Amino acid sequence: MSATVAAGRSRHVNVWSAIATTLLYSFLVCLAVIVIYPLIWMALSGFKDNAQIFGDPFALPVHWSWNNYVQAWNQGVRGYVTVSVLVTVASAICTVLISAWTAFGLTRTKMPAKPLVIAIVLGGLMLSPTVAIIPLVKMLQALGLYNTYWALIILYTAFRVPFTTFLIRAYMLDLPEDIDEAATMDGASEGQIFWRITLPLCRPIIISCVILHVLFAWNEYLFAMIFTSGSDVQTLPVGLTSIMATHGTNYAVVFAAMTISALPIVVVFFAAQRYFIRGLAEGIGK
Amino acid sequence: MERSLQVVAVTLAAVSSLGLSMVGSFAASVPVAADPSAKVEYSGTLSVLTKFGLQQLSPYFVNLAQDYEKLHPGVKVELIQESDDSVKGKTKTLVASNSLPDIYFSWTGSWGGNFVRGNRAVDLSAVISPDTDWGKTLSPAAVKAFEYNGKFYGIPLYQDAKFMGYNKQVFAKLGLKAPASFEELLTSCDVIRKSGVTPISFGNKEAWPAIHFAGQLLAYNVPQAKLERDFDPATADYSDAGYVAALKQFSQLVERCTDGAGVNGTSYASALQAFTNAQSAMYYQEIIEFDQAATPDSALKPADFGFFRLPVPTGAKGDPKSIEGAPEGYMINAASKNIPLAIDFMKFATSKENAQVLSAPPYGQPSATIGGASEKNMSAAVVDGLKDINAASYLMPWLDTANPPRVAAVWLSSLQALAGGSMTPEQVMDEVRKAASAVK
Repeated sequence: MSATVAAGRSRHVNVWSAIATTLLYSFLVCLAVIVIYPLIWMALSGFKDNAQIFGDPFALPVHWSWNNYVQAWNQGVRGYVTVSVLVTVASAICTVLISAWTAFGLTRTKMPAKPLVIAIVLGGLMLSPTVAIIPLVKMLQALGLYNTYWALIILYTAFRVPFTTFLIRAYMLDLPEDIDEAATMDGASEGQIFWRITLPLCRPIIISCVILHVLFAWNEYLFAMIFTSGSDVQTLPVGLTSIMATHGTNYAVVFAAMTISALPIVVVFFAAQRYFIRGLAEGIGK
Repeated sequence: MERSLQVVAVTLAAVSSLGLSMVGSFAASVPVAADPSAKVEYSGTLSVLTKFGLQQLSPYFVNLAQDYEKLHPGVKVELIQESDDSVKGKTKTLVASNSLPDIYFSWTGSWGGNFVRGNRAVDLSAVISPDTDWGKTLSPAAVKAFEYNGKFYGIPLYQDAKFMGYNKQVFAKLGLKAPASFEELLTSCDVIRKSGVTPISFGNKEAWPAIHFAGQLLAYNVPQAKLERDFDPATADYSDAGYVAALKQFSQLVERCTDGAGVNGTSYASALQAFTNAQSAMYYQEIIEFDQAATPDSALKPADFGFFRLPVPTGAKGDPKSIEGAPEGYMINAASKNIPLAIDFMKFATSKENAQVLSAPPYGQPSATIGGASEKNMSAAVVDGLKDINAASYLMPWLDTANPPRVAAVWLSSLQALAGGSMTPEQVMDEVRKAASAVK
C-alpha cells in the first residue's frame, strides 16, 4: 500500500518537474529567438534589395547572391575592419598588460600610500569620456597624434585601465600569498613572480578583461568619430555611418556591412564564452 | 584614509584648475572681412572640413584637391570628410578646441548664424555679394541664403528644394493632370484613393518631413517679411493669421491624401520606396531624391516620373512664387592664416567646370553655380527642377534650421502631433509662440 502511494507521489513529482523543465526550456528558447532573430534578419536582409526590404521585410530573399556583401566589402568595409582590428588588438594588449602590472603592484608589493594610489586609479572610473573630449583634442593635436591610429589606441587604453585594474586586482586579492612566498624562497625576483606565477594564475580574469575590452573598443563611436577623419583611419562604427546617407542609401549593402562587422565579435564571444561568464562572476563583487 | 582623501581632493583641484586655464586661453576674436584686392599666396597647407564623407560623394573633394594641387604645386590641401551625422559633432569639437579648418561646411539658418555670432566666419561681402564678379556666377537666392545682418558669409555649393513627384501613369489612368491649386490637389487625392492607390506616401517618423510640407504652406500663406521677422528670436511673435491657415491646409492634406495618423509610424525611406514601387501616386521630395525615386530597374520608370511645385492654395496671402529649400555651402575660418588662398580654392570649387561635375551623376548635387547644370549628363527632371529653383522669388529655409534650436524642436514635435491628430493648428501655434518667447 505504502509502496503504491510513494510511486504515485513520485509520478506526481515527475509530472511537475517535467512541466517546469518544459516551461524553462520554452522560456529559454523564446529568449534565444529574441536575441538571435534580429541577427539572422540582418544577415538575410543583406541578400535583398531596397524594394524587397521595404516591401516584404520578413520574407526570405528571392535571390541568394553575395553581391551586396562583396559590394560592402569593397566599399570600404575592408579598410574599416582592418583599422578596427588593429586598434582593438593593440589597445586590448596595452590595457590588459598595464592593468595587470598595476594590480600586481597594488596587491603584491610593499608600496607606500597604497590606498591613495588605488583611489587615484579607480577614480579614473568617474571621469566621463564626453567631458574630456575638448582638452583631449587639443592635447592630441599638440602631440601630432590627431587623426592617427595612436590617438584611439592611447585613449581606449587610458579610459579602460581603471575598470580593468579593478577587476584584476579583485581577482589577485584572492590568490594565496603562500605561492609568492614559496617562489621568493626559491629565489624568484618580483618580475619573475609576476610573469611566471601570478599572471598564469590570473588567466580566467585576463581573458574576461580582454573580451570586455574587445567589446568596448569594437563598438566605440564617440572617440572614433571625433579623433579620426577620412576612411583610411576610421573604425567600423564610424565607417558604417558613412555608408548610410540621408538620401539614396542602399540598405541591403548597409545590412551586409553590419553583418560583416558583427561577425568577428560573435565568433570571439562563442570561442571564449566559458571564460566570459566565469571570469566576470569571479572578478566582480569583491 | 581621511588624510588620503584630502590629498585626492587637492590633486583633483589642481587638475581641474589646469583644465580651466586651458579653456581660459581661448583667443578673443574680432570680426574679419575679406579683402578683394589681397594677393593670393600659393603656398602652405589648406584644411577643409567637408560634408562629403559619404562613400559615393567623397571622391569629389579628393579630385578637386588633387586638381588644385596640380595647378598650384606649393599648396597642400588637407581634407576632413564627414557624413551628415558626424559633421555636427565634429564641427562642435573643432570649434570648442579652437582648431576649425580654414574652410568648413555650414548649413544656412541658425547653424551658420552661430559661426557669424562667434566671429568664426570671414565676412565675404566684398567678394561674393550678388553684384561682384564671383557673386554674379552664383545663383542669387543661394548667395542670399547665407546673408546675416546684411553681410554675406557663405559660399553656396549646391542647392536643394522640395517638389511633389508624381506617377504620370497613375494620373493618366484616372484622367488627372498636375493640379493647379491646392484644392485641386485635394480632390485629385480623393479620386486616387477611390482607385485603391495611396495618393501621397508620407513617412513622418523622423518628424522633419512634416516640417517640409508645413514650411512650403507657410511660405504661401505668410508674407515673407513676417516670416523672416519671426525667424529672428528678438522680433518673433508668430501672430500672423496665415500660420493657422497653413496648418489647417496641412491637416486637410494629411487627412485626405495620406494614411492619416499612421504617417507618424512610417519612415521617410519607406514612403519613398512606396512611391518607387508604384504603390503610391505622389511623394513630396527633395530635388536630390529625383534620380533615386525613379530608376530603370524600379517599378516607377524615369519616363513616368513627373513633378510639380506644391500647388498654391487660393486666397493665400504669402508669396506664391516661393519655393522651400536651401543651399548648403562653406564658410572661411576667420582665424585662417591664408584667407585669400581659401577664397581662391572655393572660387575654383564653384567654377563652371567643377560645378557641372558636381551636378552630374554619380554625385548628383545640383550646383549653385549658374550654368552648373548641364542637360547632357543630367536627368531632365533635375534640370527642370533647377530652373524652377533659379526662378523662385524666395527660397524659404527649412523651418527647423531657420528657427533657434528650441523653437525648431517645438515645431518638430507639435507638427508630428498635428499629423497624428492629437493637436489642433491653434494649439500648435500656441506652443510655438510659447517657445519663441522663452528664447527671447
